[in-house]
Amino acid sequence: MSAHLKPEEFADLLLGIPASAPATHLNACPQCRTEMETMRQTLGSFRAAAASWSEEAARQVGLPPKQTALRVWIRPAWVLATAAMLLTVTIPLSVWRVYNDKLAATDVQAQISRDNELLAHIQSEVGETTPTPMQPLQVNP
Amino acid sequence: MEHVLSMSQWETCEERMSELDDIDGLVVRYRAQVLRLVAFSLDDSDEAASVTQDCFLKAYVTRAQYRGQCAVSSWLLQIAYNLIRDRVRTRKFQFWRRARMRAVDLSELASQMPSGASSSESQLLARERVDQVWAALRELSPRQRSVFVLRFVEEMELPEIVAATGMSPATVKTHLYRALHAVRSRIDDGKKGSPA
Repeated sequence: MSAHLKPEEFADLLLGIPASAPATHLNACPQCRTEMETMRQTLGSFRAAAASWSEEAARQVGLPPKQTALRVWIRPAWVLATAAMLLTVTIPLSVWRVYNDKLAATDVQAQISRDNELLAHIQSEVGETTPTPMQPLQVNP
Repeated sequence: MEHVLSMSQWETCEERMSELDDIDGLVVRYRAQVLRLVAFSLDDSDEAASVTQDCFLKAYVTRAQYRGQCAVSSWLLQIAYNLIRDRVRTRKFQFWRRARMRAVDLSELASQMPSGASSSESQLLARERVDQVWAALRELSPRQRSVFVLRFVEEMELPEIVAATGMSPATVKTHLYRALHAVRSRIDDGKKGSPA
C-alpha cells in the first residue's frame, strides 16, 4: 500500500475536490479512513454548535424588528446631523422673513402718510380763490 | 454572448429581490448566519453585533444594486465579509482595542450543542473536539477564519466563496489547507494528551 494521504490530498477530499488516487487510497487504508471520519464528525459537531450558538447570540443581540427603528437606531449621527443642518437653515430664514415682512409693512405706512400729506397740500393750494402771486395785492375786507 | 434568463430563473430573481424589501423578515431569517460569520472571524462578540447591524443596514440601503444573481444569504455574507475586512484594517491602528474586546466564548457554544441521541460520553468527546476546533481557529488570521466558516459552517462551495470574498480560487484553497492543517494538528494533540 502507498504512504498515507498527504495533508493537501486529505484536505481536497474533505473539500470535495475530486481526486482519483487519494480516493482509492482512502478506500483501502483503515487508518486514513478513520481519521477522515473523525474529521468529518468533528466539523459536523462544530457546524451544529456554531448554528446553535449563533441563534442564541442573535436573540441576545436583539436587533430592532421595525424597519424605521432600524434606520434611525443604527445611524443616529446622520439623522442628527441632517436635523441640525435643517434647523441651521430654516431658523435664520424664518427670522429674516418675519423681519422683512415687518419692514415692508412699516414702509407702506410711511408711504401712505407721505402721499396723504402731499394730497392735502395740493388740495389746499387748489382750494385757494386768489392765486399765490396775487395774494399780496388782495384787499382784505 | 449575452446571457438570457429563462422564465423560472427570472421569477427566482424577482422573488429574491423582493425579499430585500422586507427588512424585518430579512433580519429574522439571516441574522444568526451573518452573526456567526462575523463573530468567528473577528473573535469579538460586541464588534460582531455592531458589524451585523451595519450589514443589514447596508443591504437595505444598497438593495437596488442586487440583481438576484445569487442567493440573498450569499449576498449578505458578501457584504458581511467586506465589513469584516474593513474592521480588520481599522483594527491595526487601535492599540487599545485588545483591552476592551469581548472574545467569543465558545465554551458557551460547546455547552449549547444539540445533544441528539448520542451517549453522554460521545457528547463529551464532541464538545471537546468543538473546543479544539475553535482553539485552532483562534490561532489563524481573521481572513482564514472567514474562509473556514464559509466552507465548513455555511457549507458554501469554493466558487461561491471566491465570489463572496473576492479572493482567487488558489488563495481560498491555501487558506482552507492551512485552517484544516491547524485543526487536524490540534485534534491529534488532543488525542495524544488524552488518557488511553
